[in-house]
Amino acid sequence: MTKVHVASVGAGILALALGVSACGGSDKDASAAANGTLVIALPSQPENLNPIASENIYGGNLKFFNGLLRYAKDLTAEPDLASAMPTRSADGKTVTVKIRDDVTFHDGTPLKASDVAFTYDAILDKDSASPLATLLDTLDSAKALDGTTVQFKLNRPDPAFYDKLQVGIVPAAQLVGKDIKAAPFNRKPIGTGPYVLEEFQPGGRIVMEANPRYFRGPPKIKRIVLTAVEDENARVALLEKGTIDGAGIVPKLASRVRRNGNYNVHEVRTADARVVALPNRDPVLRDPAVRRALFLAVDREKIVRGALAGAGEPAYGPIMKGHWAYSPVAEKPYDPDEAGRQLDAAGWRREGDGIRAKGAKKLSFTLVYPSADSVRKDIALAFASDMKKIGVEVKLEGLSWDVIEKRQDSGAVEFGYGTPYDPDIELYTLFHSKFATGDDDFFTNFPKTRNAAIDATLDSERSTLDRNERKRDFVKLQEELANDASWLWLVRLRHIAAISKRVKGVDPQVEPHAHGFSRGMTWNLENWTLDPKS
Amino acid sequence: MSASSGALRSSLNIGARRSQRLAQAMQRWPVSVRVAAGVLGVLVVVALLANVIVPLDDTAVDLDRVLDGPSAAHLMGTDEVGRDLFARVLHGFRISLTIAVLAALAAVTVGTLVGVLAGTMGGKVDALVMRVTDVFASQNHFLFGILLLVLFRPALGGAGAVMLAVGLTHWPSLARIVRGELMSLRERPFVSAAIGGGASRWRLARRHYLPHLMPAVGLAFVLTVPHAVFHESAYSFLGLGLPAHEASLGNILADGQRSLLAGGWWIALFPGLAILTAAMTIGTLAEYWREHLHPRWRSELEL
Amino acid sequence: MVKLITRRLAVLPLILLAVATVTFALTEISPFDPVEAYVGAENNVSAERKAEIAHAWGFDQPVYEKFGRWIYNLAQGDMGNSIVAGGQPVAGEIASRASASIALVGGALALVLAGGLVFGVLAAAFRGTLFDWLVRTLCYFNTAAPSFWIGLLALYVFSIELGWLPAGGTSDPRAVEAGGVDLEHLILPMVILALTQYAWFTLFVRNTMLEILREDHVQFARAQGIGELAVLLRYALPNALIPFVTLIGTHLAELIGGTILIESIFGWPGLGLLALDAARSEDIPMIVGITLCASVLVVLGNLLADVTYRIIDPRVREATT
Repeated sequence: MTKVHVASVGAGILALALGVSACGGSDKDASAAANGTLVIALPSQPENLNPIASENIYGGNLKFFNGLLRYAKDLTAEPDLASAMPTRSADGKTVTVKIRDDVTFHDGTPLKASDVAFTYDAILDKDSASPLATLLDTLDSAKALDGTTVQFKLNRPDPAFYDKLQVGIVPAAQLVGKDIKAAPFNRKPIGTGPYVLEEFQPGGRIVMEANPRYFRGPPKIKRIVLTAVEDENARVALLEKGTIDGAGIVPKLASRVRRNGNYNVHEVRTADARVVALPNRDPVLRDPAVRRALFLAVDREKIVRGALAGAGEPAYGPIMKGHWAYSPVAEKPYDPDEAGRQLDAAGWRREGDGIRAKGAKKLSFTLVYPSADSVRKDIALAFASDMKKIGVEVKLEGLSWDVIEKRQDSGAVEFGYGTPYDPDIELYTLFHSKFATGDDDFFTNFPKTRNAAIDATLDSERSTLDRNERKRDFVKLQEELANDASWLWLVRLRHIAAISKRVKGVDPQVEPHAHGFSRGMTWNLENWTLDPKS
Repeated sequence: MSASSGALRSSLNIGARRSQRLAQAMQRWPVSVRVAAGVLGVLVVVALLANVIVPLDDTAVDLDRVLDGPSAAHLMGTDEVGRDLFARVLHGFRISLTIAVLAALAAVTVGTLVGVLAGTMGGKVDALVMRVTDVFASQNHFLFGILLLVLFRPALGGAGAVMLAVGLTHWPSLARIVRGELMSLRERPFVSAAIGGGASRWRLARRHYLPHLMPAVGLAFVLTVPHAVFHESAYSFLGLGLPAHEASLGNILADGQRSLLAGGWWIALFPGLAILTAAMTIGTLAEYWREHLHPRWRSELEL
Repeated sequence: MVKLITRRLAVLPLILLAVATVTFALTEISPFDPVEAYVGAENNVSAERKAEIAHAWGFDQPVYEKFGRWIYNLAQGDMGNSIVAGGQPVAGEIASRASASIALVGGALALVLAGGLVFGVLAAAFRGTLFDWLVRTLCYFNTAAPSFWIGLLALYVFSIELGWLPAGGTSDPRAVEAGGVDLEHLILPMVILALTQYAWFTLFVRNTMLEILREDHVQFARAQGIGELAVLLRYALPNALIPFVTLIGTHLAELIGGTILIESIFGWPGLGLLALDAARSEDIPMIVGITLCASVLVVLGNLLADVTYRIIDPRVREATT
């Protein structure tokens, strides 16, 4: 598959050694292929293209697969491989889905309900070590009733279950009896999706060709090349040179790309928030009055301006503004003076060195951030400097996740969370006291909050399928969270992408925290067209 | 009172005599060596006293002064969260050099111990130890160091893991030299006489071996320091070394890489110059020392 | 000669066994947790699920069993499965990435040889002149300047600001046939990688030439009035070639190590970038696999150096056979 022109390289070296100047001969082939080809640079190449073995739970699909359902532009679920929306039994524990009968996989075999059942069974199978298994904790079994009907048995009614029916469906024939976690399929995916994998060059590029048999009609852009370019400056250099048609860019380079004129710069809102989780066992942070004061002392607007170069918005809670369950109850303006007064009232007085203390205790704590993430590092630095202004000392530590997870001592951690989909998927495990027991459940209720009022709203929210009732619960939840203040929400990021002006039909969708190629900016890639004029 | 002042005077005399001898030696130094010593000396003093002379806070974030170019207020400009780059580079120089010195010390310790083990035990132990040394010597320092970093950074932290990675990769050449020196020492008449006279191993090591080994070990130490500076900065640059917010020259360079296109060339330039200066000055001094001490070690000490 | 090659090749598995044992021992004594590495960052995975993953991958077996299985698999060329390769075998991923690195290292090696010989010989011929001083000073500067810093600045100047050379990758992503290596893309990383070894080699060539110039037969030739450069090329260079070959063999390891930094800066999808991705994802099987491959290359490089040495210099051949 991968052909390397070692001979031509050798000749090139010879030419170079002899002092003959040689030039790459690729320009001609490049322009020949340019018509109908779209080149997109990604920061890193997806490692695993199998939706059920991929680490990326939201859209490891990469346009090779379809789920039973998909999100429309406004993030409401709609049928994809399903022929209609699913039906639920009266007790809510049985979900039945009819699937389309006109869909074939890339290899020509028709899609059957048994493929759907196989996909979900494989996720539940312990041996496949699927990262999706935790997401599907309400699923007991999936069964094909006939060729086009699948029945899901749940262990409790799950109002968020439709969000979990978006896993890409794999062909059972390719994977049955195979070791899924190490299957060659993970690099040679066969799905039902709008694009077919043409070439996978590890670490280099992925080439996708339009699927002529796609059940919604073949995509307009015939060939898409995804090339991995880690360096954010190099991506912009490639854009400026016209080598690539699209790339995600860092906010501080957005204005430079805008000046170029050949690209539309799209800014997409995401649900992806940065939040400082304040552990309740910490001798300083265990007092809710202190936590509420800290909440007021963060200049969120300035963090957005300074650390995110404007590409973000202040965040005050776990649900993003504009979401159906959002409540503005926690939105409070930056007020360091009020924060100082509240800390004074709680008995924390400024000492000679400028840091507050109460008796022998200093108002000081550690904040850990994942060292590999430079944006989180910058936000942590800005947070620490805001805290210093009100007399709170924040000591930074940058560590890798597996070290952070194993730390048993107290200290705050900067997390990234956020889903624009059903809040239950994330919020229940983040805030319910059920998840405040073991030390193993690191990414679930890290502060170990035990708050009966919060628990009650969460239990109530998932006991019904009625959206209005659930909304009331979520509003109440956001109120209780603001009172408890164990989570100090800072900012929500925006993602910026530059896409060539000759591409039409780009219509970005709001993105979650961990997103993939089938969400966000490229969610409707199969509907994009290339303007023939340019 | 008089006794202590006498002691003080005599120690001062010794100090004066030593510095006199050093001054005489320095007069014989070539210009390049003198310049290197001078520059390194100034840098080390400034880095050590950075907080005493000028109170520069390398952690003070100022989001209103992001990516400001060099100016009177910020000699080297500011970084992507508005920290003063001059302060960061000074602190980075101190941190990187400290880690490098400790890492070189670790490497020299391992190398000496292994060399002494092989050289004094001889026979099968020697053969086995030297084969293990060969295996380590055939590894690429940088690649093997990365494996060590991934495995041990969780337990030792960034700085500790960098020291371990350098320490466990840079010892084989010194081990070979130490072993060779020991082997040739045993053949010398005064040592074989001492062995014949029933001197204990400890006495042999203290009286005869160590004094002869010290110059080689010392030189190997100095020669390893620039390598360790390089390794630390490269690992941190790749995000495998020190935590990203800490001022190490490699971390600042990584910040610089991210800010290049946004116009912040100074963040990539100055820490690189600092590494370059450290490597060139220490390298020049070590090279000069090596020429004087033992020209033959040129090839063996190819680190 | 055949005896030498067979003997050395027979030792190769022993060396690999030693390296494998050392790396296994290091993995075992470190507190590293392979399950966390597999699960990845910020994924909500329960404790039972982690235990299941550990079991599915065999992380929970006793040490001796793990070691036995690891050595047994290794003997069959199976180095385990890699996280960054999407669960695929380590060996296959290394094989598919090797060509990009071979092109890079091969090109750099050619440049080091050519540049080092030319500038080393010229510096020796014009010793004591400004040219000689310039060559030596630049070499000195080059030894001290970290390669990744030079690479960073070169990328900024030549690719980003001037736009003369591509900013990354091995070829134009639009090209119909992929995976090739374009010279245009190769130049920058190749030159910067070559610079990591260029300095010592040039200085070595220069000093060796000067030593040979002091030998009697060369002095005699000079006395006969043959020009300086001609003496160097006709008498000194052939004699100096032998140590060069040996040294190139032994410095192969450093060149390979250099690819990690260079490939990362220039987004060159070879083994160096793979090693770095593996390190960032804490993909131990992949890093160990690359380490083992590098060991094989170094041993083979040394062997090649010895063999060439014997072919060039018959005296050595007579002495050993």
